[in-house]
Amino acid sequence: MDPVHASIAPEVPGEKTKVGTSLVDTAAATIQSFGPTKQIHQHLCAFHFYADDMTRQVEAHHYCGHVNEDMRQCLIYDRPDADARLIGLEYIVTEELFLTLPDTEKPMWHSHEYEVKSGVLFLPGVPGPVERKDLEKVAKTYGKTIHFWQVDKGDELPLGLPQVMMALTRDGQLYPNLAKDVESRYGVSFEKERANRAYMEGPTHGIHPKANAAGVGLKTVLREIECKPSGHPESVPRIFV
Amino acid sequence: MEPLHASVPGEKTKITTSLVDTASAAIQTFGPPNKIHQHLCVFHMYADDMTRQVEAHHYCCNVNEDMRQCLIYDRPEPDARLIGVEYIVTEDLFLTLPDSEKPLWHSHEYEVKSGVLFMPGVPGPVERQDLDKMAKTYGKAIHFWQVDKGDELPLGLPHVMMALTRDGQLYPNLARDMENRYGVTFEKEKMNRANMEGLAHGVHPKANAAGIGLKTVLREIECKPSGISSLEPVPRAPI
Repeated sequence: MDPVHASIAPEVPGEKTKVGTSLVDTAAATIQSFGPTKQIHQHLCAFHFYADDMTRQVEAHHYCGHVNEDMRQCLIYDRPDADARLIGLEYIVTEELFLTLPDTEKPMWHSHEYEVKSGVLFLPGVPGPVERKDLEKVAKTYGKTIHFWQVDKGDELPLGLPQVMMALTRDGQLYPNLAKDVESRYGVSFEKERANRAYMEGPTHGIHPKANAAGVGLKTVLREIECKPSGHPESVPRIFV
Repeated sequence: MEPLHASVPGEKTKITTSLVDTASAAIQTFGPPNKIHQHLCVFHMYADDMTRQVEAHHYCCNVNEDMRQCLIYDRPEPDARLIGVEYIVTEDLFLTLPDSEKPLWHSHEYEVKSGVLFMPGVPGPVERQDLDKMAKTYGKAIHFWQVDKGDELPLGLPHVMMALTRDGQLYPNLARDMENRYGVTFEKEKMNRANMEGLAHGVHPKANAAGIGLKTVLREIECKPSGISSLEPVPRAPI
């Protein structure tokens, strides 16, 4: 079965946004400021797959901003259009920061070296030389990606639990039809970029053996437990009204 | 407890990095995040622990009339940490969800009518036009960065979050701190919003986790390989 392409995405159910709603939105937007989201300065395209299932590969449009020199936070949408669905997010840290993580945490993070050096990860529209200045750094980083909307299953709404995602780590993992579809749409050639990026280096200490889930599958599941009450003097349980 | 404003470890962003960022920003377009048109402030609690209450700054946009998607930051500043996301749907859409899905969603009626949920800086009459609708919606909130524990980086699994559903849950000191910082009065807003209707069918019994605790855990399993027949099967192992 061919994986679903982002280009054939089902619509979110519901009415088209009414003019009245847009007017209230616009009114709010002129008064409020959006400091955190204005930090977004970069659009990156890459693929993720589910940490328990490599057959499910998803095109991921990252919109990233620097928190500081060592860390970025990215929103992930299913396509680069205004009506895109927010399907996940990713945190990206330098090797130094990654190495400070507890060993129990490291498996949830993936390396970026292969994605960058293979040419598959790119910045749409940005000329090669500018793009490569940044990708040189990205090649040495690690990312933690979580998706919450399983658009590849055709879900019309964000159902189920958030899932840890992984990234490509070697040739032979990415479905050729997904690769060709992205190359056509963006007019890029992964092979050509691979040649241009041959000089780049990955993490100084090599890819950490605990990263990339250390090669096992990871799946988020839900456990029902006693909910700890707020311990407020007039303690009130969290039940529906 | 005052919200912790710990810095993320690492160097301050270099000028050269900012220049490359600016160059990309000048060339690229950011359609999806540019659609964000609204800042909402409210509190979330962990679905397994009501003692952990987190101030949540939502930056939302309408996907369509029935659905919004929101980014959640720990404060409304440029250096804020992205700590979660929330999807908001109308009652009609919520009712189409499978019963197994409904517990992951929370109602907004109480948060809106109590005055605790507000849009910083927006005049009451404009704010209330939108909150009138919000009171009839459900949300699914997930947090990834446990800033309330003082985590300097986003550690651990994503957590399902819940919202306030009745008086007596929110810690008074958190409420007062918010009221002071934004110059709002929840009691006053509660009166202004007294005429708002909530959900047409009432709060669904399966929403708000049906009152039990929900905790996400990670299970290690066999990873299904990509199975491309024309390619040699290649495991996803570190190089």
